[in-house]
Amino acid sequence: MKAIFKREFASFFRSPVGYVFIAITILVFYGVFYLVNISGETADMSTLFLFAQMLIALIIPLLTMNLISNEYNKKTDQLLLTAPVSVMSIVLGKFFAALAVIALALCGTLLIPVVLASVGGFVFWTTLGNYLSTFFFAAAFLAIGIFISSMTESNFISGILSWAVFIGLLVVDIAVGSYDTPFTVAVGKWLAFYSRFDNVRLGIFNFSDFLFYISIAAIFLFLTGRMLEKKRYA
Amino acid sequence: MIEVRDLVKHYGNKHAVNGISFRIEKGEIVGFLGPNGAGKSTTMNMITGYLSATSGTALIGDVDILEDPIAAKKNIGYLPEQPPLYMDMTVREFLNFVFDLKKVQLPRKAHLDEICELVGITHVADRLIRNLSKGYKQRVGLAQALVGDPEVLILDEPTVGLDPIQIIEIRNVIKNLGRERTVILSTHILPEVQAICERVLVINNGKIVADGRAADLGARVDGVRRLNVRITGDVKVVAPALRTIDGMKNVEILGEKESGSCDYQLTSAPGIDIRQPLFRKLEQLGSAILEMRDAGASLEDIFVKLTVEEDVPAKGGKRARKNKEDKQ
Repeated sequence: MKAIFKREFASFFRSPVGYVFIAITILVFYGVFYLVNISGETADMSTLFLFAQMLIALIIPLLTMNLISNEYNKKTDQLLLTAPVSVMSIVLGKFFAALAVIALALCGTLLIPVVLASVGGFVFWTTLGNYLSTFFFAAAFLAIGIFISSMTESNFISGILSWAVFIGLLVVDIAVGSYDTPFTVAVGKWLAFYSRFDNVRLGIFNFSDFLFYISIAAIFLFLTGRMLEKKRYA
Repeated sequence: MIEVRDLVKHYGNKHAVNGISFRIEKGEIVGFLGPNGAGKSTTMNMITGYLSATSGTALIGDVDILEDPIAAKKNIGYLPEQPPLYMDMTVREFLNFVFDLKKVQLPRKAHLDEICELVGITHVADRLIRNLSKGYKQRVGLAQALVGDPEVLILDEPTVGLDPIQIIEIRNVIKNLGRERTVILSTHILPEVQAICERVLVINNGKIVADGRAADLGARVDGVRRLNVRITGDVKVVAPALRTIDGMKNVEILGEKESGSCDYQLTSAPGIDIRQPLFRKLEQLGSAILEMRDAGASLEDIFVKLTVEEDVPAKGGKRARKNKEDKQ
């Protein structure tokens, strides 16, 4: 796993992808921070994290689209799958490498809470909770993206499909939220990738929300492993 | 040591590999020979654990690739048909990655330097793989297979894309490696098998159609022997005299290639060595042998015989294959 993590992480920065991802994240964070917090003279970071959420859904395919598709495409999966490592350690190595890029991007935005803290009206635990849940939210989307990447040889299809799924989930989330029937509430609660975030943003932490994202990540990473195994039985 | 028992791979209705069994000892270099699509790569992919077998087993050392894949894979170095290279890395970075990936316990720098030296990529070690020529990429692919000093080397068409000098170099590398390891290499280039391998497995339509030493294989196929001979003297005298030799099946006149002599291709009946009678006969005539070469049952002949004539599959198979060859 370590070898794959190292290679994959370095490879994000051999191409512009890693830099672009981090640059966009930082630009959006500081942009929103300027427009909302500085212009609006507020220390409330909930709008900021609302944008962060959208942003992550939009740019995570940048990280995941190549992650496994390219291995198929360039036949390098033959090297990985004939090496003395388990399939899961390949998947996890890739997952954590992409997650590390996200963590790095989020670290690049830490100047915002520092500035807010110096001004006052800043709530440490809410901010920490927001950062953590953004991170787990990203992890869940990352796992879905990796899974989609493991389904196809084409990084183009993988990227577009991930996008479609992430935006589709947002649409479902909004749609379900606006129809208040018992059924939609029940379904919506399970598909509410985005609105689960609302409580956190307001400073209400519920362990089950974190658990939701972690479970989603675990499930899709497991499925990715199965997908790689399945290729052997083609 | 590799032992393969009844390996079968079906893709839907297509039987890519159809019951292959063999055993290869340490220190043996074995060539898989067969036309494109015969099942060579599929067999290799199953031995290395990249593909699962529909049925059958493959043992690497004493370890079953399916039962304990991680332990089995530790002992395999594999160069697939298309070398699995990360184009965005330099040769050195890539080999270091493979070193980590295989969890090799040897001293890193010395080991990798030795491999680079062996396959002749030391001077390109700091270049991006993307920028290397096809031949060098192939070498890096071979280097990758050698990382960790595995006991078993499986090389799928290792000399593709190399120039003639590189081919000779790489063949020598493989020959040297084969002294203390088990090597399987596949190819459809016949002289390659003759140059490197002691033993040949001819594969066609997912089956082994012949297994033996490269030299013995010829006799087994047609039993006849062909000699190309250059003999001095008048064709009109020599040719009829040649036909009178016991055991001579056919005398084909190839024409004058050196003045004052003529080339013949002599085909003997199965099991008869005509070289001595030939010599005596020519002595009587006062003719001399300027050149004599064993042209008998070259691997080309064996190959064509085994893959086309003897093993005609279901109806239309031959025609289908012919079309395929035409396309190539």
